[in-house]
Amino acid sequence: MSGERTVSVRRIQDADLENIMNWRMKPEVTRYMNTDPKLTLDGQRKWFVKLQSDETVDYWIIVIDGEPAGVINLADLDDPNGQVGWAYYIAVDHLKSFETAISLEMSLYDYVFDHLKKKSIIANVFSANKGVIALHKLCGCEFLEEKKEFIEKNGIKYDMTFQIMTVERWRTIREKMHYQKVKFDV
Amino acid sequence: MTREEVFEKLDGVFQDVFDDKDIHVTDTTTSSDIEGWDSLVHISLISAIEGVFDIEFDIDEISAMKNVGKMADMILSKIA
Repeated sequence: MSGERTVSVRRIQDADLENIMNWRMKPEVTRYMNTDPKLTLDGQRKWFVKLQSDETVDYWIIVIDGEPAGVINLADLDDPNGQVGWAYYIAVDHLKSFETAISLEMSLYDYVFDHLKKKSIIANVFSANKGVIALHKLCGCEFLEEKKEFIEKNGIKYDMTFQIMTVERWRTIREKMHYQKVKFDV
Repeated sequence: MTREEVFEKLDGVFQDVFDDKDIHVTDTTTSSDIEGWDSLVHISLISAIEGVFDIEFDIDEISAMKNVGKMADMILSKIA
């Protein structure tokens, strides 16, 4: 229930690393992630250097109303079948909104299918994360499968739900979708 | 179903989603009025409302729900 915000997505810079480290260790961010890492700034710098030469993944900073707010990423960019994975989080509470979430997701589909020419994109979501599963469904994603006890974290096993968007489906449904087009830095 | 009955059911949905039996929503209730009502909780709320009233909303309808009054209007238009 918020008005439209200005959203942009840009490449990660050195100056973002401390923010990312702090965001990634916030309990509300790690809650539905595969790991609960204990990060250091030095470790973040090493991760960032490695990232520059890793052609299988891509990361961006989400900027909302001019304020860095979270991270969005693609994975499996080398998949021979053209199927990529993705994830994102917005860590700054007052910048979260339904409209922003929708715009980011749909604009990512535009980027993945129009610019990268991929065939499909998969989201794997903790099955308990009902809000995100419903969000992906609203954006047109289809249920692919649920894997029971797929992730073990801190001694607890979690079910994982997989949802998919294909290039064919996105091109069929996107005309009726209303969303703010967010440009991804190439 | 009357508007009052819709609000009675909405009270129940909000109380369940936010796990707070003291919540009572009105026409002017917005996300600023209830702690923890962020975008993802909003989606969970919408899913719960869809289940209780046996209706479905699209993205544009969800975006148009600027307060609980608008939400009730939308529900009434779908169950009429």
